[in-house]
Amino acid sequence: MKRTSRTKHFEPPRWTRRSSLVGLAAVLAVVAARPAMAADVQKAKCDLHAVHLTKQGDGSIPPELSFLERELRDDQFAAYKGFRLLERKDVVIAAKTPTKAAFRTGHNLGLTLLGGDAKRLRIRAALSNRSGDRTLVQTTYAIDDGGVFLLGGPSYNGGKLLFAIRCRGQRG
Amino acid sequence: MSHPSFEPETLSAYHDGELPPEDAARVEAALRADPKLARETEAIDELGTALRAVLEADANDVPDARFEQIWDAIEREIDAQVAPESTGLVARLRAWWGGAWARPALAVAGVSVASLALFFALRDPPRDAQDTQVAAGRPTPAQAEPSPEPPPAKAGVPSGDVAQPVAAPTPGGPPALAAATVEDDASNEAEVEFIEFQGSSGRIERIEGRRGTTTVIWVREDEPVDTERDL
Repeated sequence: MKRTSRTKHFEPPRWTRRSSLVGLAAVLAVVAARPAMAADVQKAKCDLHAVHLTKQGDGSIPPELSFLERELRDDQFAAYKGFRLLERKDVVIAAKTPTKAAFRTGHNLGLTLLGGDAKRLRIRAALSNRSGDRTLVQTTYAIDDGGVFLLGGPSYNGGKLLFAIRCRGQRG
Repeated sequence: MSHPSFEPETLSAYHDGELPPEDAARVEAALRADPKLARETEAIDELGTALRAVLEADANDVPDARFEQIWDAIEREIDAQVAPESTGLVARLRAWWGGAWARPALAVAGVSVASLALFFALRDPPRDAQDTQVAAGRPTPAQAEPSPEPPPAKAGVPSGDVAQPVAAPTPGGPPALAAATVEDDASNEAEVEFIEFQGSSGRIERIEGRRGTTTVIWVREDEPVDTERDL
């Protein structure tokens, strides 16, 4: 579209510029406050669940996986009828300090607490393959304190593995 | 376009065999006498045939696994209703089940549930912008985090993992006995700031869970991931 001279010389009214300045100041204030919030939580306690998904089974969800029932009933998992908790690990992750959880399946799940406050955590996760010699995926995510994050897909014993990560920040 | 003495609902009910015998006889007599009315009921018949054909075509697109899941859910629901009751109620339910009308009624209920499930299955769910296929080792610009992330992991250890294992197996027996602990109000919705699939590919999915939307990262190793989307 051809630009008109009117557009070129358009000048916003004064009140618009004032509002923009106030908005910019608010954004800067939030950005400046963010590091202080991020430094609030120095440790987080995480429970990690390794779940085996198979096509054989009666479709029931065992009690120890009830916290994942709604997710496992989703269409994403419609191809699977067997859900079994292979292993659960409890780990404490510290700020900026990588922590590795080695599962009996051979997979390693690396976790690092990058920051967070009372409500939200920022975490880096890295999942290796079964022999532990290759990283399949690494990701950084922010999630509510106590929220569940899922990493799935590695093949295992005729099925697939699903890793559920749930962390809660610890103050002090 | 309906016959002066019959509402369209009446003709439709006649077509579906839902009219009382005396009303049905009245409609039949009118059909014999009025060719225009007969054509109108033929149109209803054609409409029903076309509708059934469309629904059947839609149903064919739903994987068998999904239908199995729906029937499993129906059976579980029936079991859950029967199990905790007293034997008296069980006996009454058995008597009910023995009734000639009960099985068709249950079948109709089952078809209704399946239709609802089909409707929701075929509905295009709202997708988050991050519900994206990501090529192996190549995060999209929107997902890439330029500076704070470490370089790709070295062979043998996932990125950033150093020899500092603090993982401890859950005490108190095999994993199958380890119960889930806390149920709280935390949302599972995660904001994925960075992702990198190394030597493989994958995707980010969002699914509805108990605490809102749950983020799932699916890694595709050497073989395709067997999810319903791949069927």
